[in-house]
Amino acid sequence: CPIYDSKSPNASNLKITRMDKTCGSVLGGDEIFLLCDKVQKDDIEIRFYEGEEEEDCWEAFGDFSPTDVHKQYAIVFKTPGYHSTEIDHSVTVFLQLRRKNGGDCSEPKQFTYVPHDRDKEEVLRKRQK
Amino acid sequence: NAIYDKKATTTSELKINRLNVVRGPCTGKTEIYLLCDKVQKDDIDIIFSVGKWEAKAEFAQTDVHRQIAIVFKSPPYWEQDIREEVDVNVFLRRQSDHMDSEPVKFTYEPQNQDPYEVNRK
Repeated sequence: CPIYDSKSPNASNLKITRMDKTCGSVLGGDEIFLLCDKVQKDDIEIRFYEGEEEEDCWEAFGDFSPTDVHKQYAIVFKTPGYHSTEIDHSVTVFLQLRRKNGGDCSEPKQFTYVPHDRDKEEVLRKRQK
Repeated sequence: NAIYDKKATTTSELKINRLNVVRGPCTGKTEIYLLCDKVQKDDIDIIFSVGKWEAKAEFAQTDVHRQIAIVFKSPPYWEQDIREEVDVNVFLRRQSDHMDSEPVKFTYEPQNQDPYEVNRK
């Protein structure tokens, strides 16, 4: 069992504590607030993926800059689009925190992509006005 | 047990950096994520205010994440029968010395957004 130095962000475990949304548009671009254990703003990525097997695994990354990492314990990012926007029912994938250097990962959380619905989008847009 | 830099969080300036949601129904209960500078979880309130009205947002100490984020629910607006949107201020208040942060804006929406109701007014 490895011994972690709990004070070093490099050695401690990555963990997603809480997210304000767990579903969003298949097109991506939804803003999510993610609360986490200590991360380093220059050495962290948010990996969305589907499938366990290496060869047919889809992956894409949350969009954020180092300034979107708040005090090492929260990240505001935008979801990536799903590989197919032509889905007719919801698809659940996983996301996890991953260090760019070393590749350590957090436990995954589920995220559900919902189909693109033009009518619904119109309604939402009108409601926001 | 974590050792907090007590001096910093009992006297430092309070600051709201970001809210994930800036509007919600006047009935309250909108879940909001707030990112802030370091706070003490047992010494902080989130105040909604406009004019003489003030109300505290609802959260537990366990909703304060690592001193820099708070997940809370908006309080109901004092008036439930509003016909138009109302802008209010949201700010952090330290309980011990009553220091307030700069406010950010939150918009309460009428419960009944039926356009005919609005037109009738």
